[in-house]
Amino acid sequence: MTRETILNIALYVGAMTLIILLLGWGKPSKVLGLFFVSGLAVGSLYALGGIGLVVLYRATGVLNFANGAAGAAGAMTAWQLGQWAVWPPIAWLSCILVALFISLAYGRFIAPLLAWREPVVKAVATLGFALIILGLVSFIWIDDPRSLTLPTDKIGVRILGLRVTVTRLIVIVTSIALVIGIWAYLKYTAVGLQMRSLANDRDLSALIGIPILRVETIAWALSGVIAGFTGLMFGDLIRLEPTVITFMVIPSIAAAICGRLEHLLLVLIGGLSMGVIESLLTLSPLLKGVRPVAPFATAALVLLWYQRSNRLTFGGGD
Amino acid sequence: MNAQLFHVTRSGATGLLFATFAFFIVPLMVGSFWTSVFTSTACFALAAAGVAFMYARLGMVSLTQVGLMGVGGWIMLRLNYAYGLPFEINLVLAGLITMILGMILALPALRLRGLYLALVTLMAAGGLEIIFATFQFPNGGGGFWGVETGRTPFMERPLIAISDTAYLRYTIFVATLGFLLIELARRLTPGRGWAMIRRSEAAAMSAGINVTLYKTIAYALAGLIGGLAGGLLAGSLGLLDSGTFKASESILLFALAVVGGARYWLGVVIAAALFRIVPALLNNWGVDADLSFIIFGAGLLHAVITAPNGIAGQVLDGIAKRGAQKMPPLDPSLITPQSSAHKSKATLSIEVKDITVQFGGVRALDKISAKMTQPISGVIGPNGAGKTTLMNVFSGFITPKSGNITVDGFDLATLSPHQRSKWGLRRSFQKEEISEDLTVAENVRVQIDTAELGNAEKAEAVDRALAYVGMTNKSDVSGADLNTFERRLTDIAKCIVGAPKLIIFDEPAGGLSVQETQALGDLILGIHDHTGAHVLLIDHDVDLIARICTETLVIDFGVPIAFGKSRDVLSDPKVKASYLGTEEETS
Repeated sequence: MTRETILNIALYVGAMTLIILLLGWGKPSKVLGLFFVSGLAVGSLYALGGIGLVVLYRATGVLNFANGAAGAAGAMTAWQLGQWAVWPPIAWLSCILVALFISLAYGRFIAPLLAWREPVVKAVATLGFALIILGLVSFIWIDDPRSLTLPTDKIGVRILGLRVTVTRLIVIVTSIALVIGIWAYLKYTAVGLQMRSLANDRDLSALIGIPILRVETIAWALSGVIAGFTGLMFGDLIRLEPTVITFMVIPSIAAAICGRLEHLLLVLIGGLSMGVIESLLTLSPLLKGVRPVAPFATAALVLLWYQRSNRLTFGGGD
Repeated sequence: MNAQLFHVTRSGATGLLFATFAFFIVPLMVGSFWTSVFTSTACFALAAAGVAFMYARLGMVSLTQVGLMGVGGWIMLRLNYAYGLPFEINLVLAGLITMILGMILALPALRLRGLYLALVTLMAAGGLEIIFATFQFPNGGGGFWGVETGRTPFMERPLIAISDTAYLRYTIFVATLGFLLIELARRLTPGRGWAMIRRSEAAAMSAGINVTLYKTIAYALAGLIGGLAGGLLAGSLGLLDSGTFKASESILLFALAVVGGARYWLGVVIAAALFRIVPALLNNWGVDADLSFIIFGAGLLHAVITAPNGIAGQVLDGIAKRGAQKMPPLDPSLITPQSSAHKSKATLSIEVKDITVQFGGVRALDKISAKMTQPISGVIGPNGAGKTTLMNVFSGFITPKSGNITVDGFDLATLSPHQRSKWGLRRSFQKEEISEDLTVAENVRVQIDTAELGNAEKAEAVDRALAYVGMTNKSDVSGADLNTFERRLTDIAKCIVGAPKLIIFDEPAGGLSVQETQALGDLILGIHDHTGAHVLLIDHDVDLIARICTETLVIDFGVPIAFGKSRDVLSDPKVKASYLGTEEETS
């Protein structure tokens, strides 16, 4: 461990403890625990979104603004199938399949046209795709209060004396499991190795014969599945509204920034912390209103911290 | 330069005509619904102009613009309802306060580039969105800080523009002023600096441009424009809704500026029209306004993939191409350096002392020392020897772990990269760094923009430099229309303009033909006589070095191998070994 890492960990632990103490001072531990867990659930959603973004960004260099839109399309499909009384597991599965399909369609047909452009342009293009999906989805499902409920909403588990719905538990566990799973996938499989190679140097990877298209397609598929799952969970836990789910990509980006767009564990920690801070802010009468600012403020501070010693000058050739 | 400042291009003339038409005719033709739509379109066109110039001129993506508009609008309403000052004063204050906020937002952005920069502005927009949603706009009641009770909320409009139609004209007028302000800044020192920053920040710094300052100016201008736009919108509606100033709207406005064509006034107008008029039209036709998202999205994908200059670029370039004439390329054999006044100027003594540079585990330069006293010195070494790294130490881009460089006893490390240019350090890069947005003369002018000279003197210095490299008749040609040789010549003109003390060329002949390299060599040989500056030439072309450098430093793998008279050094067996690779390995 370098000194830098130790410093970062110490700083993080210190800051989190301080925030929790400041906001939770004098509150009964049960209340604090409740807000903490609900924060973890929201944070897991941010983290899930962030993980999907980072997996894709590492492998393809595309920061996909359409991730949220794909999730929104999936969640709305699931709701529609639910209305038609389709067997629920099919509805949930279709949510993931729709997102997967949308993600793959972009990855296969549009992304290659922009393969050699700079990251900003690639990101802006996905925004166009996001708008198309959002437009279609809002056109098909006119504004109307809807809700998506999963059977796990009604089942609760008692953990340390707190009742936690299974849905929340699923989200938290999935986000942690995904980080471990993807980490293992990247480390131990051939495709994972190829993905890491692509993340490291795309041009060189092409030269040594990495099947870029195949690896990228897998990355698009993986991020599509994650987006679909996130959309479904978001629709259940927060709100089922296409615009809201589509622009959930913004706090997800905030989580991704915490991991410098590459480090999954940091994305997870960042996402969870944002959720917890956001939730605990509810306890402060002064800051209650601006609580959704938490992800943005956190991400901006983290970004500045990462870049603090970065004088914008040029190491090698420019 | 002054003649060019007020030069009206064909696109500019069309723009002014359009503004006149919009000012005089449009308000007469439409009813009250469309008057308000057009007023808001004009406001958003002004705001979009702010994002568009940042993107097109500096290559920076700002996703906060609509948020800044909200700030301007908020201040406008606040001032209006609380103090009852005249409209103009409120508007100017709204613009100025937003400008300051824009500059504050610039602080974190200055350390970032590319995607990260876009993301940090997006975070700011997200934060503003929530702040607006929480505290609401002071719409004559409630709101942050509340509104004085007992006073009827009334949106003060300018005395000359009370009616909706007059207010539309007023908005169009202010928006046009905003466009002209941006265009003015673009044609002056900031614009030249921005063009260089867009090309390369390293090149901009070594051209003497204070990158931090120029970026802050850009943010300030975008903030001012956004604040004015927000203030105007507040004046039109009398109340604002936090839903108008969401982060997603900022992204949308940026995206539409790209669709329209961020480089052109027409592109910005198209962006605003798409943003405001298309949804209104769809609504009018009874079509779901959500469909406009599909149009925007498809337009954005189309623009990004096939039309980097947007719809306006396709339209205007098509018009400009007709009738445009291309000059024939420069013939290298016609270039003959003139000798001139400086003939017997004393040389400098450049002392490189124990320079060590470490990148992580790699020692890129290891205790490089040399005392150079000849007018033209060379640094030579195979690929990866550390030549460019040494050069970046000269430029101040890399802080060495130890050692320093002094010129006649003056330590270069005391100056920041951009101050070194003013001091007299000039450099060229391996890639020619000519801004395609500027003409040849402007590219050279950038270099002495910060010098303490009058305008006429600067223009004269530019002319002299261009005459030396034989580019006089190309001085008004755009950088985009030059070939590699002409770009290299412009680079040399940039290096000799003004009062250079030390000029460093990094592989100046890269990509040139033998004949062109010959001509370039002649020019470099004459520089000392022409300007009195010391020249340091870095290259791996042994013939070029042997021909023009009197003394040469050889490095390999970051270690100095030999230093002395070029003739002696280049015949040194150790040097030959590192170049040609004999069995005997050198250390």
